Amino acid sequence: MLPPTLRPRARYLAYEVISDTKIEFADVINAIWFSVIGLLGELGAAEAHMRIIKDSWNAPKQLGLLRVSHTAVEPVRASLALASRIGDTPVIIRVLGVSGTIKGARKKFFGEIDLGSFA
Amino acid sequence: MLSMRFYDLQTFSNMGTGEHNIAELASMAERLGWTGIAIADNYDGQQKLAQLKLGIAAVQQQVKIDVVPAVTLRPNDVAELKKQLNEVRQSVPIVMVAGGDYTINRAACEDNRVDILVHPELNRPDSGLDDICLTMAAANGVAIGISFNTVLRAARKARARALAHIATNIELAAAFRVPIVVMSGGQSKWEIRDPRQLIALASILGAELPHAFAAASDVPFNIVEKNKKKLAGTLVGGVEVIGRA
Repeated sequence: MLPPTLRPRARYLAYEVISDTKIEFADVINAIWFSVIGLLGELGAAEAHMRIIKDSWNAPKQLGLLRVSHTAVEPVRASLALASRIGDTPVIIRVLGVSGTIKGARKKFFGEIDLGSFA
Repeated sequence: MLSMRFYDLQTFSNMGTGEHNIAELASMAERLGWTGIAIADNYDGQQKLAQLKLGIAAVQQQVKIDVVPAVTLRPNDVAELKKQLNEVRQSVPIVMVAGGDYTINRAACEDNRVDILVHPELNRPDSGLDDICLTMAAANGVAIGISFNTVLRAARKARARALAHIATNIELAAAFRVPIVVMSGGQSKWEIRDPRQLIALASILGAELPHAFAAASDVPFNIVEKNKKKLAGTLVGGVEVIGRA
C-alpha cells in the first residue's frame, strides 16, 4: 500500500442505467468498458484507472459505482453518454454524481442511511 | 454567474422524424435533469408547425419542464433557406439551420434571423466553418450548435472525424467569440442525454468548463427568453418594453 501522498486520487462516480427492461450486471460491465475504450482508446482507459465496484450494484434500481482517477472524471462521464444499447435494449447510462468516498456516494446518490449516524 | 437551468434545444418528436411523442420526450428530459427542451422537428410547412405547437401546448399542462416549439430548417439552397426563414421566423421562438453544405453554413451565419447553425461539420472533410462564417455569426448573434446525435450515430473512423471537426469548431468559436450550444439532437427518448454529460463532451473536446456549462444552460436559455419576448412584442430592436403608460 502506497503512502497517501503517492496514492492516485480516486473519485467514485455513481451511475444509473435507464432502460425499459432489466439488464444483467455482466452486460452493464461490458457496455461501460466498451464505451470507455471506444472513446478514450486503450491508453486513455488505462490512464483513467477505472474500476467498476462490483459490490455496489443495486439490481432493482440499476445503480452502481465506478472508481476513476480524479483527472478522468469528465472523459469517463462523456464516454458513458456514448453507450446507447446493451444487446437489443436501448439504454441511457447517466452519472448521478461524484464523491470522494464509496460511503459518501452511497449516502448522497443511493439514498442509503448509515444507522450509526443516529447514535 | 452561471445558472443551473439546462435547456436541450433539439429533440425530434414522432410528429416529424422522431420515434416518441412529445410527452415521452419531455418525461425523459425531466428525469435526466433538463429544465426545458425544444421540440425541433424538421420544417414541413406551416400546417405541421401549427400542429406541433398545439401538441406542445397540450403536453405543457402535464409536465413540469418548459417545452418550447422550435424548427429545424434543412434547405437545399440559399433561396430556399431565405424563403423558409420568412415563413417561420415570426412563428417559433427557436429557428435552427441544419448545416453541412458550406453555402448553407455561410448563408445561415450571415442572416440574423437564424438562432443556431447545427452541425456545420456534418458529412464534410473539414469543420464547415471559416473565419468569414464565424465573423458573420458573431456579428449576427448566430450560435454554433453541437449535436450529440452526430457523434452517437457515427462509429469508429467517422466518429473520430466528427469529434475532430467539432473540436475545431469549438476552438474557432472561442477565438471569434461565437456562442456554442450543446444539444442531444435525439430522434428518440433514448438519444437524449444528461446535461452534465453533454457538458463533459464539450469540455473534453476543448471548451473551457465555464463555456461548456454555458453552452447547455445560459446560452440556450437566453436564446429562448429573448425570442419569446420578441414574439410577444416586449422586445423590439434591442429595446425591452417593461410597461406602458
